[in-house]
Amino acid sequence: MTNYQAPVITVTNNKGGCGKTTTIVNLAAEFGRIGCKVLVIDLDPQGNASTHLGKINTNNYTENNIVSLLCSKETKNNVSKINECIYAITDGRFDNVFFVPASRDLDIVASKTISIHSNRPMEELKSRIEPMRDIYDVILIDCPPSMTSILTGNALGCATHFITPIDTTSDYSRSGWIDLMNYIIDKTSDINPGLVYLGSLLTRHSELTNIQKAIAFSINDFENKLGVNPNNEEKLIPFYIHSSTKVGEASVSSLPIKKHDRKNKIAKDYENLANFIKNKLLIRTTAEK
Amino acid sequence: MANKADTPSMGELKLRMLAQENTGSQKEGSVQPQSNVKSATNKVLNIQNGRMDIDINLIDPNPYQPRKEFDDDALKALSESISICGVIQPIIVRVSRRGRYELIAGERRLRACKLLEKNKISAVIHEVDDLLMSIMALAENLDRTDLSDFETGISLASIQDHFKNKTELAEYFKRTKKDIDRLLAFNSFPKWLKDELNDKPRLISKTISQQLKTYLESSDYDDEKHRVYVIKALKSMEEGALTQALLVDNVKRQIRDEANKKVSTENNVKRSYKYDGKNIGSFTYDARNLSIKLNSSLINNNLADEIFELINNKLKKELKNI
Ligand SMILES: Nc1ncnc2c1ncn2[C@@H]1O[C@H](COP(=O)(O)OP(=O)(O)O)[C@@H](O)[C@H]1O
Ligand SMILES: [Mg+2]
Repeated sequence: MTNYQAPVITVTNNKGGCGKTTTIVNLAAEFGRIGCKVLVIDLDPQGNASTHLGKINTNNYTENNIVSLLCSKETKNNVSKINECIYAITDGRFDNVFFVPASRDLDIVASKTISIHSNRPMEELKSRIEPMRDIYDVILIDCPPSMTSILTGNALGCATHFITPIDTTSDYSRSGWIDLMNYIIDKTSDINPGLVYLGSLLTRHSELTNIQKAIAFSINDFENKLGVNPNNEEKLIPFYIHSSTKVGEASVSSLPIKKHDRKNKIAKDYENLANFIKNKLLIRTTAEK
Repeated sequence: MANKADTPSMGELKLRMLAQENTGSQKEGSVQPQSNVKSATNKVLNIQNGRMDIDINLIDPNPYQPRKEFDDDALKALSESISICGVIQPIIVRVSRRGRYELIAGERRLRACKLLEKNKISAVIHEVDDLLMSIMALAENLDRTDLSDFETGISLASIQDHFKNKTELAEYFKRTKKDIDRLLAFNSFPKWLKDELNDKPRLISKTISQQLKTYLESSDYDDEKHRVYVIKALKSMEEGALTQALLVDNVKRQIRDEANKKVSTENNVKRSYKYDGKNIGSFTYDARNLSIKLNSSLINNNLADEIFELINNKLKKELKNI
């Protein structure tokens, strides 16, 4: 029990709108619901995850946010300073979920500060996340829609696992995804060689549409060629996220999809995803259900 | 429980890739970023992955997609609604050679716009590789009844390698395994037969494809001989003189006859019965018949019976041994 180190799961894809934030928010909700103590780090300057979780606009987190976490020297390996940047959700919308909110100036400030002052620019977040890994049960990181950003670099630098969401209604390009995977392999093999790919998560997916079905197949085909699917499983993540207009509604009302529409199939999808990851990574549950 | 390999970490993957590069054994289609190609095309055309208006004349049909028939009335209705409302959902294309495009989705919308004699159409440009394109087209084709079994089989074979096994292939396209086997059989036909079917793809259907394949492979393979007779049989089928169910039998018979004919011209037997220096009958034996002709004025009923019995007994005895 004392040696537990929470998995750090980064959700990334340089494509915007493919479902990164939706996945982070609903995965956090599901982990929390089944009794995991969850920490969400919002690394996207647009702060959609923060708004969804905290119910207020990112502009309101003027202090104690991701910028102060990343750019202040004091937070480095210092649990109590780190804790100052973490917010609890107390209004009952999300159980057992804590988060570090984003900030609009994150991109500019963080990139500048880090690239000027850090001798390990891709490992700044790591020194703030590592001390939290025995406090939380699972840590989730939302990324900006950019592959080369120093923020994405930090998210991958401290993660133990990553997931790439793919919106099969619009991501026709395998090569975009191939570029992403190659970039990640290339960049993280030095700074974080132990990083493991959990799989791609198909979002807004339907097996009834030929194009979408073909995209799913070709992604799987490439995973096999890349060698990230050693057991030749049909899909690394053995289900997908359906499409539903309720996703947008839930985000407007700052609720997990399950609280917005209990019977929605997407609520079930994310429940499956959380359980799958929990079993695969042996995530503990120290929080109340 | 089976021993499962762990998913390799990024560090291990990188090491593997480096090892592959060093031994030069990097397989085609493995970790090849297509970014150079992509950025090159994007530069030339100055496009993003976004919506833009493109010249209708620059759009070619999907090369993997056979022509479809369209309901004229439905097309007219669509073009009317386009001319009134103006806006339509953009079609989807990919970039092909030198600034031309290939249609991925939206054939009806494109046709409706052509009907309205528009020059431009709103399109989203996606980067789709050939594998994706062919799987998409094939899945669509398999749902339609108007594509021949031969064409279906050949396209199935072209992407078969991307599937782990035939079961997976069958599942993907929602066909039975037996059906897939029958369709794939077309691809094992010798080239001359495929050439023939390219012109007339409907001549042979999947009901006999496997039988024909097995026959062609198992018979002592004499390409030339089969080619001549199969093509002859296909001609008869085209003319309606032969049904495909009898195709293989027909070819077998033609080949047997040919063999017998050879025997007969080489070993034709023709002898005559003589009595007192005069011909009283003939004995002939060729590929088709053995016949004995005797002048009946010399034969009485008893003798005729005896000759019949003699031959009859002899045949019975001999045929039993065969
Ligand atoms: N499964 C889904 N079905 C329908 N809409 C979705 C789904 N997932 C995401 N969306 C919508 O797509 C948009 C982009 O999603 P988001 O999660 O913010 O993507 P990203 O974080 O990758 O930019 C949002 O408006 C969201 O409501
Ligand atoms: Mg987002």
